[in-house]
Amino acid sequence: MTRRRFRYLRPPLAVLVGGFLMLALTVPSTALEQVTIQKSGSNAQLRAANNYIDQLSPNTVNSNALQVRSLLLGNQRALVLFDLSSVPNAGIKNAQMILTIQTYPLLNDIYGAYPVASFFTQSGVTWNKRVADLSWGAAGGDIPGTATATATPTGRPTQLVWNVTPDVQSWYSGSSSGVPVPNFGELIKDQTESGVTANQIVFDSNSSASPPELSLEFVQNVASLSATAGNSQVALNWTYPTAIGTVMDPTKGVLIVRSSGVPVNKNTVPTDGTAYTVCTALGNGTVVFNNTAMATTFTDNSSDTCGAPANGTVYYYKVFTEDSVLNYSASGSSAQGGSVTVPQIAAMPSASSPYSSNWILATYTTNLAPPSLFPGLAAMVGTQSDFLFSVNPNTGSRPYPPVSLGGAISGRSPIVNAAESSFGQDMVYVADQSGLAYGVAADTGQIVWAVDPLNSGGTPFFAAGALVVKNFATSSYTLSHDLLVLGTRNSSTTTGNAIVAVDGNTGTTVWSDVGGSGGIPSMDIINNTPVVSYTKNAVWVTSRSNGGTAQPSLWELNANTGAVIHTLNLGDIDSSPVLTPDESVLFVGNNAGTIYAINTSTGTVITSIAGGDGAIVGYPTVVGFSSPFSIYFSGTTGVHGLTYNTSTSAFTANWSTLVSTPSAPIAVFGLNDVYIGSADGTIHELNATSGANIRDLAVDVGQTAVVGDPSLDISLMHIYVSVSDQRVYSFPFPF
Amino acid sequence: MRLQSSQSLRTQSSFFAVLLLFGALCAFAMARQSRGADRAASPPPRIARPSAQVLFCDAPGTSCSPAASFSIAKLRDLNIVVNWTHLPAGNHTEGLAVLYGSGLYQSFRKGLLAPADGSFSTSSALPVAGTWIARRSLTGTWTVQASLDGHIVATRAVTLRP
Repeated sequence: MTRRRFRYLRPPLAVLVGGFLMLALTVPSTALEQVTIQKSGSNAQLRAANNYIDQLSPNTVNSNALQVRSLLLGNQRALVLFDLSSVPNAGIKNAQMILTIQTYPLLNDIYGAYPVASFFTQSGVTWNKRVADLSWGAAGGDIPGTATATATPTGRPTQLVWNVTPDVQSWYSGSSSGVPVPNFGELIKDQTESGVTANQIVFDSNSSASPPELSLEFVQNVASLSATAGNSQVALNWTYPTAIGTVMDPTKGVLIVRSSGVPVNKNTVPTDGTAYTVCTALGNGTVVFNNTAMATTFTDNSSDTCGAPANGTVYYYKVFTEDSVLNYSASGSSAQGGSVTVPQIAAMPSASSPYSSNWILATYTTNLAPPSLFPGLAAMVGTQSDFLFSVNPNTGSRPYPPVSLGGAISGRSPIVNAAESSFGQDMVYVADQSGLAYGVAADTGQIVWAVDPLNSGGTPFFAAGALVVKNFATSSYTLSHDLLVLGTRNSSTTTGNAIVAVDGNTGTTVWSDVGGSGGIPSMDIINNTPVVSYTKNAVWVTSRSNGGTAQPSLWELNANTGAVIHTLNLGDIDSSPVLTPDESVLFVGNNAGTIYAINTSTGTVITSIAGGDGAIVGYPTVVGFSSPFSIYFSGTTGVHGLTYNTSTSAFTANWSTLVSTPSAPIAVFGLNDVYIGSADGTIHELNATSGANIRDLAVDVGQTAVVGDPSLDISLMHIYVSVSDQRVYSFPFPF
Repeated sequence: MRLQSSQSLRTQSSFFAVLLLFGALCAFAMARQSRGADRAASPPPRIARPSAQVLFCDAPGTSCSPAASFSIAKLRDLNIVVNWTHLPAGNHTEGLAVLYGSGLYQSFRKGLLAPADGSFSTSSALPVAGTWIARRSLTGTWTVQASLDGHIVATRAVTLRP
């Protein structure tokens, strides 16, 4: 039984044969596999949607129903979105969408399947709108000019089948133009719409006997890839994951491509069916290992005929799974960036101080925000290509494919674990540049709610929100649930931006403060995340102030009502404020480079100090549980250490260290180190007392990548950085 | 792809030989028909391929004054305007890839309905003031690739200065 024959079987028989194969073959691990994605008792399809939209009722939501009609001014189109969570780390080889026909049309029209280009929700999509009050770019759905595949009910088949392989591959890798493509499902429409007489076909939906199916053939990636660097050598280890579906071609081994100095790029894609000999050039790397015996280790050392690893050079290894008929675990072509999700790891051999990454996650685009952390359990990363990634920090694998959202995500999204969340689930709250806010279940990627909180047609959010966690609040917090507080970045106004608060359980807008309206002072754009003061039941927000001090740039708001408690005119501020642990003092740095200490009881400036190095980058970091507090901040050219003494109400400047266009610094109590991402492709580890540079860890120096704000997971002692090379890296720390 | 047995390959070879013969006969017949048609009518009008002009502005909207270089100290958003022409009427998707160096910084997607005259303009705002571009001084040559239905149609560079 070959894959080719299997592919052309009618689906019900294919499923039967697949079932037989599953019994007949006893391959325990990954290979070319087939699985049918379909809502069932064992697959809830939490991220799925199946609707139709109707030109005759353009504002009506039609959920759990799939029908397509051709009728002049009364066309209907179907939307089918599959939840691909069960296939998170794989290269897609074939994808067939199968819909069971419930009612046949009068005429055997041709039905086209098109990839949907814009975010929509099952609960909100209509002919005119796609989610909340946001319209489609073109009424009736945002789709390309040509269908990916067509099908016709000629001969009255029980099902229609569309080959949607290019679309599904692009959801895993990218389009043929190399641009990432979120998974918003498929739109089905009649190819001869607007008929004089109605011609309608009805398909089974997720609430019918035969829900929509997506038959996938794929090769899973290796799991738990790790590297150990030594003196002139690098040892790699990995495992083969358990099969998800029916094994069609068993695993043979791995193909490992190595690149020195720069990561193996996403365009490095082996051709299925082609055998590669060791030392063959492939993409921007070289094949250094091609194993046919299910190896789980490879040591790159002086016996490497392609060139032994040299001490002091960073090597990147990308590990492709390879099956018995030479299918590799890439999705699509080189032009699509087909190897973007294939595991990769970095290591630098050295006689004295070798190191290696824990893992590398490709994120398609740049976002220099620090990853959000469930320490020891998950790291969450938003991207400026509309994805929200989750990654297991222990293995680097994705628990589910990235969640496709409506716009660029630029900030560090707040998270709360199930025990502390008012919703009772691990939640991550996201805001994007399309003006939507989302509550997402972090364990599954299910979008619990998606709203336009200002009901304004999408006012952009650049900064992530701050989350008021009810479980952390005092009794003065009277709201029923957690509260997400967001600030807009509407650059077309310097006075009319807004701060809006959303119920964490439902997405309902609780309150909003719009600049220049209802007694609220003029409000310029908000570029960074607010901070919550639980002792004061307040939220502190920074904003720009139209380039001067005539309008506020620091705002303290009541968390229950949004009432303005205090404002200060400190000049443009793009950084976040921070509080001392007892929340008595707030530190904030403006774009002129001045750090202020604010009395949180009175909302007045206690003192300030000129940083002398341009705008404060990101946020100051405060370390210590009592005065004097250590404060670290970055400017244009370096990182600076201060102390603030509450007894004397004075700052003391301690040290300054030059770092190339530094990120915001991060440090933790008990470790005398400060970590900063740099534009030289490294993470700098500084001595927190003296500012002395201890070590620069090369992340991607070959491309002089810009390293973003670090996060520290102190339960695993991992440092995470997003990098302008479109990847997130994890390393052990201290270095 | 699966490696096939020699017997299977031989069977396929015969099949392809028949297919090739049939195809050659069809091509011959079509060529004769085509030549006959050429004598009877003038060639069909050439259909222009979709094209795009990418412009950059510091003000919103599609009718702003474009420039090729901007100071990030003064720029709130980089407005990316795409003027499409020769679009086939109907649905399309526009994609914009904004590259810093050779790497993708941000992407945009839009659905659009091309009118009968095939002209359509879009604008997309790349946030600059207070963003990673300004915070981390991501200056130099940037590139925007405009694609239609997943295929790159136009590429244009813009300079962001300190």
